[in-house]
Amino acid sequence: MNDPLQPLTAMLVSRELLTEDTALFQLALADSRGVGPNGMNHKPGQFVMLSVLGAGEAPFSICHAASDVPILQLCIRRVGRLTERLFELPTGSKLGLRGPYGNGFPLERMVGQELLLVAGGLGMAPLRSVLQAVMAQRDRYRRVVLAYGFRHKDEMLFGPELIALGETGHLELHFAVDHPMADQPFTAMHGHVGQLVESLTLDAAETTVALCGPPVMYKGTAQMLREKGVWPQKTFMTFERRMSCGIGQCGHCTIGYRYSCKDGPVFSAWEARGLREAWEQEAYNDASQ
Amino acid sequence: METFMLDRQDLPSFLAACEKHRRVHVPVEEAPDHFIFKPLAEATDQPVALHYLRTALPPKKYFFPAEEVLYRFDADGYHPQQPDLPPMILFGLHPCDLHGLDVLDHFFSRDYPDRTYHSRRQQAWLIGLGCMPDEHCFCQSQGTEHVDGLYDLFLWDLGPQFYVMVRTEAGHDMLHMARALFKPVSQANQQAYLALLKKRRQAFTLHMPVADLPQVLEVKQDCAVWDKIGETCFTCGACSMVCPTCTCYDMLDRMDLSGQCGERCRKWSSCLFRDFDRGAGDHHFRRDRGDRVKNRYYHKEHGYVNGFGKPSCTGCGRCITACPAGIDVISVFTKVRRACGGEEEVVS
Ligand SMILES: Cc1cc2nc3c(=O)[nH]c(=O)nc-3n(C[C@H](O)[C@H](O)[C@H](O)COP(=O)(O)OP(=O)(O)OC[C@H]3O[C@@H](n4cnc5c(N)ncnc54)[C@H](O)[C@@H]3O)c2cc1C
Ligand code: SF4
Ligand code: SF4
Ligand code: FES
Repeated sequence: MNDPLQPLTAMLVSRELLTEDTALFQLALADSRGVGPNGMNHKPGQFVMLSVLGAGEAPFSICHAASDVPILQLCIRRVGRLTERLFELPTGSKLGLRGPYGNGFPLERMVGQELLLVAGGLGMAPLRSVLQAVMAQRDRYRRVVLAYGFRHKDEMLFGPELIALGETGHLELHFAVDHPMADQPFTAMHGHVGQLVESLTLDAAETTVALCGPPVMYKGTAQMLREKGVWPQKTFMTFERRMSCGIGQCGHCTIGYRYSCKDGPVFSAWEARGLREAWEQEAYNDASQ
Repeated sequence: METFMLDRQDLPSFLAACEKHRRVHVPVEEAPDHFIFKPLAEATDQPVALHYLRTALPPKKYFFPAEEVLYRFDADGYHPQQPDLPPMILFGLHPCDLHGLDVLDHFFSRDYPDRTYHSRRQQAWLIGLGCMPDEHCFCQSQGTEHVDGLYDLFLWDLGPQFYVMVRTEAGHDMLHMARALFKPVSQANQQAYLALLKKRRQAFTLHMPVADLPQVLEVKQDCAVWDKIGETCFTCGACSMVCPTCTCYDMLDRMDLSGQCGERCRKWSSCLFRDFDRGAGDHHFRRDRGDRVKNRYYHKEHGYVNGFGKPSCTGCGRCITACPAGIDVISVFTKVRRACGGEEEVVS
């Protein structure tokens, strides 16, 4: 019987600091079968379960689009036990990896639409995989807009990459920062990403949204998008819960009767209506992004 | 289905004959009013507790143990550990527990069949045992009062004799481990069996109307009652541990002293525990106790119904007797209905 809980072996190829506490990790499978431990190509928005010997296991979004290279990219923030260890491991270290899991963003349903990607902080990580997939087939979509909010310029993820994409004219960029700085190499609105989205002019009926960020940004942003006329069926958000299994067993990630690991992590605002804990209730704690 | 009669005094011989082929586990009264499933071989001076109603832990403990080592890990990777449960016969399962196992079987076979659960489960043959409800049983309300097809062999206690139903090939095999003990069924036996079922049906004193519960709960999501109940709940998780259908677990990595290798364990957990939903940045989605209590009950009678088409409560009453705070599922739902101005549903 195929055992979905068994980690396969991967190797840490490189770690590149993107900000003070966040780095891009590149992993290779020990047997170089392809991206993802099951040898399958993943869909943007899917995640893997990563094990560090003795430190445990945690979910991380795959932050690049599928490619033929047997390398997996994860953008990880140093926040606790397991991630601390990850930041100390020498390259060449072995890691446990399983997945990819989750449903991913429904890119097919975005074809022919205007796309609005809304990222808050680390939410840029999974959205980067969407962005790369969209750019690889750019002519299938209409206007592509990225609204990205972060605390200040040093917290920006993939800045040079995004700015270069913006310069090609294929991507429209809008940034929002909590703390503007004089030497910012980009123009940004002062405020949070919800305000940024509010200021955008959209062809609402023809727009599909992909939203990822800290829980506090969901309720207001989804509500405002709805008021702007974007259909809840076309507003997709990731609901990231604590996860122990990734396959709909351990119960940690449940929201009502849905499992965010298996039925999600991507839900449309329409699907999420009944999932009150997901976002209709006020988040208890302003989690850091 | 074939039916037979088995004399009451022949039950020990039957179990002894079974024990020659497979390890038999039976309910025994370990301490006054404290029943557990235990290997027959270790219950030498304890009689099989034919009168028991609920064991402290449900049969899930055999297939989904409170803690198990899934893998050993070292620098070479994660090595699956094989569960060590030998072929067994589990004797004396009441209908509610057979339904509980049915829920677990289904849950652990959905998209990703669970390796250790199924390897254990496939080792087990199940013998059911009829029962008479007490004041905490409400399987009749939950629709789990009777079973079809979830057992291999089933015994209904008619007093001097058992009315035996053989359902599967495994049941047939067990019958043939002591074929001479099983007698043909007379018409009078059949009548006695049906009379027993009728008496049992009328013996239920606890009723909980559940058919409309998903709808009631859906409408009444905001209800102050949950906070009130939350104030008395210790969040000890006992209700989840004893529940035949609670399946939540944690993963735990334990390093050996060498620091070079270790084991990955799976342990029962509970959505009542404060850390259960703690995410990055110490973010909680159900920080208040009331929210967590509500989550458990919603899962049983609302969420599971939405996701799986039936409630995940079998009406076994274990959580009622296990709760140190005296919180019981019947009054919880009665209070919710009442507090929200719904029509009063009587608990007789
Ligand atoms: C679908 C999904 C995708 C994610 N993608 C990313 C990503 O791309 N980059 C990134 O940096 N982080 C991501 N996270 C968050 C990341 O999983 C947690 O930050 C991580 O578990 C922290 O582990 P830790 O041991 O270092 O933290 P600690 O705070 O020490 O956590 C201890 C333990 O608590 C549990 N835990 C705490 N927070 C979480 C959480 N949010 N999710 C699951 N378990 C948690 C875990 O069991 C963890 O091992 C994602 C989470 C989910 C659910
Ligand atoms: S057994 Fe009772 S006190 Fe303990 S968690 Fe369950 S409801 Fe709360
Ligand atoms: S919720 Fe209570 S009564 Fe229902 S199956 Fe679980 S332990 Fe038994
Ligand atoms: S992570 Fe275990 S059920 Fe979703």
